Amino acid sequence: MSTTTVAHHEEHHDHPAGIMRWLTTTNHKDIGTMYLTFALIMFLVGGVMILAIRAELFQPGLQLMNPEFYNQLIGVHALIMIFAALMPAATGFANWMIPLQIGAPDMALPRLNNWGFWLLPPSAILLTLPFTLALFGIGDGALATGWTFYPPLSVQGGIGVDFAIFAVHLLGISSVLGSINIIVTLFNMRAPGMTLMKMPMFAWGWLITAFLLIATIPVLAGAVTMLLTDRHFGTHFFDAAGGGDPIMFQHLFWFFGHPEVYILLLPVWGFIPQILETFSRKPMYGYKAQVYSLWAIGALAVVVWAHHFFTAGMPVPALLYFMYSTMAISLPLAVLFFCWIKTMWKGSMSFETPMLFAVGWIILFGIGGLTGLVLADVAADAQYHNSYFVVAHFHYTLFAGGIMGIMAGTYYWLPKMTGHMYSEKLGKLHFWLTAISFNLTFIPQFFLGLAGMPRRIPDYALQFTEFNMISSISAFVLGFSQLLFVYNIVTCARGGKKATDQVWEGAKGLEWTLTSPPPYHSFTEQPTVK
Amino acid sequence: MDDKKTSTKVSSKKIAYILGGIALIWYVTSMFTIWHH
Repeated sequence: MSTTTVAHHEEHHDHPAGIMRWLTTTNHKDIGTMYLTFALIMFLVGGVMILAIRAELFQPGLQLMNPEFYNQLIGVHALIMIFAALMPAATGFANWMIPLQIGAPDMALPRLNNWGFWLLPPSAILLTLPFTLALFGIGDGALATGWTFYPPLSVQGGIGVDFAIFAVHLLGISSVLGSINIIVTLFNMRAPGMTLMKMPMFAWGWLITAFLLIATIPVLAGAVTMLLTDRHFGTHFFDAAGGGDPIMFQHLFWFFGHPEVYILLLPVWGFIPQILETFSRKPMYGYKAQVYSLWAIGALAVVVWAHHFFTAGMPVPALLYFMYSTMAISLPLAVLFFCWIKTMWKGSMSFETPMLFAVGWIILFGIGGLTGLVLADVAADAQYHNSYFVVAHFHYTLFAGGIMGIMAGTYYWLPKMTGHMYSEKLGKLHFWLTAISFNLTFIPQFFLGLAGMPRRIPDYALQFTEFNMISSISAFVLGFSQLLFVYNIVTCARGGKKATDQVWEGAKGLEWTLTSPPPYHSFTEQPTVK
Repeated sequence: MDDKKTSTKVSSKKIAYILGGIALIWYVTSMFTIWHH
């Protein structure tokens, strides 16, 4: 692709040192590193919360916590994992890699980029602070509504709901600023010769993600703003007691909430094919088909939201519309799966850690997608709704499809970012521990859901005990095996075997033409693309 | 990066203002719609 190899070993650091560097930086790689570090920390925080939940669910009865605290952990775990771990991780990669992949010196709006990141830590504090305040007798803890903020619970809840509403506003502003920056960068900063249809797939995934964010985040913000006025300013938008409509809130929330799933997944669908082509040592299959499929999924994502609450009651034509439109998403997704598998077909494959994660990702995310089809069926959903089947499904989608994808990307780009090779042995051990313990955590939850165990309860009937025990033990193995991931990243960042510029034998694209790690100012000479 | 305008490109800031404006109008519109629901 590239005809210019840029080798910058000399660097001109005209930036402040120490903490001021990180507070004031406008460098895309610095900001990307901050996003990724923040995401990793919050991933561990959210992980600790869910381990507390799994410890409580190890056996029936209430052992470790009261139901209110349990509900608070559930809601904050989800908000942290979605808004403070997965989204910042994808944004971190966007910051690091999009300028490198399109041959740009930096993001188009670097100061906006700095703002986008520094809105995140205050929002993480807002989300978790109510737990601490409750220890001092202030308020009654964090929001206990789950991440969905459904009224009337959210209208009646304690100060944790207010903290979460403000946190969501800040996170939303951060996401919109980041999205604007990515769209502008992709439109205006591409190297000469890089037409839109020559952009790397990761850039395409992010371009569509950015448009989805701008289309949906304002609606979520509007809904939670009005929730705030219901709570404190005497309005009754969502309060049935005052003539309001709580179902309206569900529509608004899921108008954002369903595209959010694709917001979390589209960047991963962007870089997984790049990993597959690298380790299969042959060109990506069906580039155009993949781009069109990503657009089709992006478009369908905003018109299928009500399948999340089929059981809330709606007219039959609406049920049918949302069922069929949801199922239609499987068509472009099937095209993507076909292209991913065909990319590997008859390739000269090798299974370094990124490839292990990518192949494992295809299988596990496939299970997430197929179980989603089951839930899209109106008749079947009446049985599965609000059961552990749903919990298992969306963890196959968001842990396997999202976080394991991010892990594949981390191992793929870490040598480029740090200039060092990570421990392949530890990476492979991390993969196998993660893949096995993940399945042992969530396969039992499919069975629990089919047997009728409802979600969001701290206690359960005796018949569900064995599967819950297996799930809890496996969740702890899954949780602790992530320490290998952290250790591998930290040791790789601190030193180790030097990485070459291309890093992987089959790697293609402009980012691999720069040194490892890339110079502080990337592409001071603009590359050209044929 | 500073905007390096060429005859064929819309400036980065202009695109950013348009997208930011769309987001802001969409935010207000969504609330206005609920108000009248």
